[in-house]
Amino acid sequence: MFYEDFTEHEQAMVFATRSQAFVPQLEQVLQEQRKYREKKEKHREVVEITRNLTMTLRRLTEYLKDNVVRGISWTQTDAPFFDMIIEATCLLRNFLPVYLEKTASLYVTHHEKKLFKGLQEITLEFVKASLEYDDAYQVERFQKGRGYTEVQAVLAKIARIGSEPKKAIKLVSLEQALGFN
Amino acid sequence: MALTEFVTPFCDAFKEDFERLKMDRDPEKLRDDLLEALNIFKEHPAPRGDMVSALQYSRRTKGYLEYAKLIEYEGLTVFKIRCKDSSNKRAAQGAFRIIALHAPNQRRSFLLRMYAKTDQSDIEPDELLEGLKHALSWLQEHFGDQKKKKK
Repeated sequence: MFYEDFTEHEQAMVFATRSQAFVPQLEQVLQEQRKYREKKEKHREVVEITRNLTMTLRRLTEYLKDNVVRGISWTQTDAPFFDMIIEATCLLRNFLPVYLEKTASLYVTHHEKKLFKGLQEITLEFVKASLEYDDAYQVERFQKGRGYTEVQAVLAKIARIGSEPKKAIKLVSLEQALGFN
Repeated sequence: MALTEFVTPFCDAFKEDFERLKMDRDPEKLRDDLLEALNIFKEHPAPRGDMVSALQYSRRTKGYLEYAKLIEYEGLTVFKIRCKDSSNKRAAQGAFRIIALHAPNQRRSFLLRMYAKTDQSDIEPDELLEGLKHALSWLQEHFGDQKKKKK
């Protein structure tokens, strides 16, 4: 009703004059929006990386589970590649909970939260599968190693020892035993 | 149970290993890494299941301990424990290996050897003999032979 009494030009002038008072606030809002958008983009990158990593780890875990009986140590075949993956998963294990905690209130949607949790779970499963894969080979090798029969003979003697102490056990602090005071 | 009640005095081979590792690392960090690993191991010396490897989470230290069963013999288990190296910022997979014998009847563990994966990739059974013999004589001295006792 009010604006209808003015020409289009006058309406614009009134609007501009009124708006001027809000310019500082507007700039602040725009700046915040810009920051938000930047953060959101970074966040999108993290989400994308998470999604890719989850898929890669899932594939690798399946591969390891299928080949665990193959009896070949990966450290002999693809050492640098697998070492890199293992290092990455270790970092993730520590990084993800912190990241989730910091961003949860701001930008993480329920779906993304599930995505991160999924990565955490597959990371753990991957580490387990990778250890099982490598250890199966290591144990096999160890049991065919030099002096295994003698080791078994000593273990047989240890297995015959009773469970009731016959003599008081003197406790020594481990720090002292390691040469620390 | 305190750690001192769980881990018995070290054998010479383990002491020598520790001294060697201490030479080019921060000794206190090395000690802390070892004690942290042993504390989780003390909580879970018998991982569930028939798996060769075990991954154990500790709520207290908020960390994982990774270990594998090298030998299982009439309840006795020789473990290979992975331990991190804080001095060189290495995660457990690429850092130290601790070889330990766990005797569940006596609720005791014996540290047999400790080495860095970068120096030595594997260990041969005969390298554990000295530590095992030390464990045998210590157990015989403090617990005695079961069969002799029955007679």
